[in-house]
Amino acid sequence: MENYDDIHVLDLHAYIDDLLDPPRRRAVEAYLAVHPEKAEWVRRCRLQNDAMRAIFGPAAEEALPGRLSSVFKPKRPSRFPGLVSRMSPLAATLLLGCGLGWSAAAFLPRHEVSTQVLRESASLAHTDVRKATVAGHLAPSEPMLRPIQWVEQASMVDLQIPDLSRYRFSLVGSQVTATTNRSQAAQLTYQDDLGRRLTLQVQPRLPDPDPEIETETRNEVRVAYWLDGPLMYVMASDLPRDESLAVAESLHRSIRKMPPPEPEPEFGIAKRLKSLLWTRG
Amino acid sequence: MDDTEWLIAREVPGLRRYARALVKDRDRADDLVQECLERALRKQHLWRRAGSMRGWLLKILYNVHVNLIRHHRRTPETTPLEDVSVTQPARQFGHMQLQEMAHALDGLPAPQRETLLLVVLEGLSYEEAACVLDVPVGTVRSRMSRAREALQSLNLDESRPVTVRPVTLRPVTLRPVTLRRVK
Repeated sequence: MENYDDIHVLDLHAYIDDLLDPPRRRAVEAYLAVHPEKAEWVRRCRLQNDAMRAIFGPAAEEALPGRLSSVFKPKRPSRFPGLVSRMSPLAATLLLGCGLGWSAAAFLPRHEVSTQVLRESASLAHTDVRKATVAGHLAPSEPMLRPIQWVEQASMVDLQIPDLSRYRFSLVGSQVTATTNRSQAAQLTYQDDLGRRLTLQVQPRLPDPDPEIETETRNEVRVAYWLDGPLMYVMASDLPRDESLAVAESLHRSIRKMPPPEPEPEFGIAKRLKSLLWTRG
Repeated sequence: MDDTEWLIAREVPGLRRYARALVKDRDRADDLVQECLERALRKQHLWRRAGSMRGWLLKILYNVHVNLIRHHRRTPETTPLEDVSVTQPARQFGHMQLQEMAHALDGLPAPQRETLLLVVLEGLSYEEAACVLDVPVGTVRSRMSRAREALQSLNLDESRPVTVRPVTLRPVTLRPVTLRRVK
């Protein structure tokens, strides 16, 4: 006889909203299987969710009105588009950087460089996958979701594992892999009914912070340091190396999941003042 | 468009969906989204990749919404929902069922509706929703629970006969809203 004492109504809500981790979800499903009245309540709540999405979902599918798309003003076009397009990216960057005195970074076709690296890396990775196919084995695979979660955390973009079942390809392997410029990419390997394989690499579009936390002993103090976007963190302690690394990793994770900063200064002190005035009528 | 702008632009459809659910009128919802985007672009350096872009933008949108309500009447302004703005009812629901649902949502207290829609429509976790609404996570859970109980009387069911009729948006007469920045 299973004990379901630890399943509470909050778990049912989180289950309805797909916010439970897999073990907890399975526990709730087992609980619902023997509590039909709760299962019916959950079913009705899920119908409510579906109805809400049906009512308001189409708003996200509509074409953007001009006033919203114009908020993202296009950058001023180059005065030498033809010349620049005929030159190599490096030469174009140098010419524009020197000639106009502007920062070369503003003109560097960074994404082009980045896709070159990714293309090179993906083709090499696929060569390896092809060899593995011939040899009849696959490269070691990580849990399927992890590479996608890694991209999501690095880029703050929500992703899902691409579904290629329409083309009879299914996911058979996934890992976070190093690319040729020492950055990292998520690599997904698919295979179809005929045994053909397909390699997909995804790299965060934003400049990726160095995910490695380094440690060293300096002045007899253990120091762990890491980069995160524009910031650099250094943690000094008397902890042994492994423990220092574990604490630093935990710190790194908690910092990255911090709530976002207040968007507007007026929501700070001004907000409190307003709410004070508000409560006093 | 730089990286951050690209990330912001990517969230615009979701912002429109939530804004529409908040104020129910297309133009006013787009006013909200426009103000939200302009603020986000001005303040994009504050984001610093700490937290999700969606959560950050929804927080701005929600704050703009709250400011507008306070500015206007100091009471939540509810616009009667004239019609459900769906062109094609979802497969398992008829138009009447969706309209019942829309009216039931309209009848919820604003905090419950705002919370429910953030979680259900925008897929935020309870912690993220708490951050957007600036309330403790326990309050989010409590609002979700009360909102769901209030909606339980609805007779949403796939087995009910589905009657589909063409839906047209009826014009809603509203006071013109002008966005004014709070100094």
